[in-house]
Amino acid sequence: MRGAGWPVGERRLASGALALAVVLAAVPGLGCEATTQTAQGAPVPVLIGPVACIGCAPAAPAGSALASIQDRALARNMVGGSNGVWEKSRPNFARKIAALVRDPCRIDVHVSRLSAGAVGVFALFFGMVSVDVQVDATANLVANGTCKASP
Amino acid sequence: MSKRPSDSPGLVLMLSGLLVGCAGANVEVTARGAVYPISMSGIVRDNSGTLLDVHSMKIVSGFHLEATRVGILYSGVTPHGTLDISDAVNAQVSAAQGEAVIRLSITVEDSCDLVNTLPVLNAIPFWPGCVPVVLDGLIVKRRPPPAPPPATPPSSPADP
Repeated sequence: MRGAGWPVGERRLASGALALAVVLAAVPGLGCEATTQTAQGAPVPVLIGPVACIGCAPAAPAGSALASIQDRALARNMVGGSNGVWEKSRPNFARKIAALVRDPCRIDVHVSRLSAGAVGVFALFFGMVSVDVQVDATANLVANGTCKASP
Repeated sequence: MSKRPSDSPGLVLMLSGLLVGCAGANVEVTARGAVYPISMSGIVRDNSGTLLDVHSMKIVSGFHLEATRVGILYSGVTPHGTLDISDAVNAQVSAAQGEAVIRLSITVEDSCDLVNTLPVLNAIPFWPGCVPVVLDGLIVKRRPPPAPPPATPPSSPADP
């Protein structure tokens, strides 16, 4: 042992542990992210699954798709060095449907794909947390669609 | 004389590799076996084709489902990556004596963020990442049609 310092092996171990601690300490700096996809406010039914109405039997959507709609709700948080970037896109699904549908009485929207993902990345001095919900849908004509109950 | 790490590029690369990683998972939500209508908006139709909004229906309960799916290989593979909500919808709607689920929303929560970003460990290909999903909605049923007004008995001429 030379001088009053630590042995070389212990010094290396300590510096390695310190480096790891610095890296781990950066993780909370990433923060936590969550996101929600919804169609609240859409003027038409936005259907998941094969049942189109109360009392209807399960069936594939009738008629051809008039239009397709995609939307993605995303929350992302990136930290690189001392810089942080937050990105948060609110769901626009209902607004997109409302803009597309001219006659809500005779249109249904059928969700063809609803997927959610979460991923975390850590690369030396860069970290990222990302969560998203993606929805793909089509607008279909409803043959007997109406807004008013028949007498 | 011992070798310094800088003298061994392979070792440096390996150590650097331990600090580069990612983890996560993906899930596809389906309802192929549902026997009740499920709407992400507040609107659903009855079997005559009439639009019914939340005000013209009775909320009988809330729908709630939580699920977490685990992914490996840097989020590239998610075993059981399909979440079929049909059984939960059928059971909860039936138990509440409802007729449909409306205002269904899907949330990816933050409870997996730490696991997905954990340095060193998420460099391992089989380190499990995850995606926590919460689905919420309202279970509704149609309001019964208003009862007809009670027939007023004809006034008797014998009444005083």
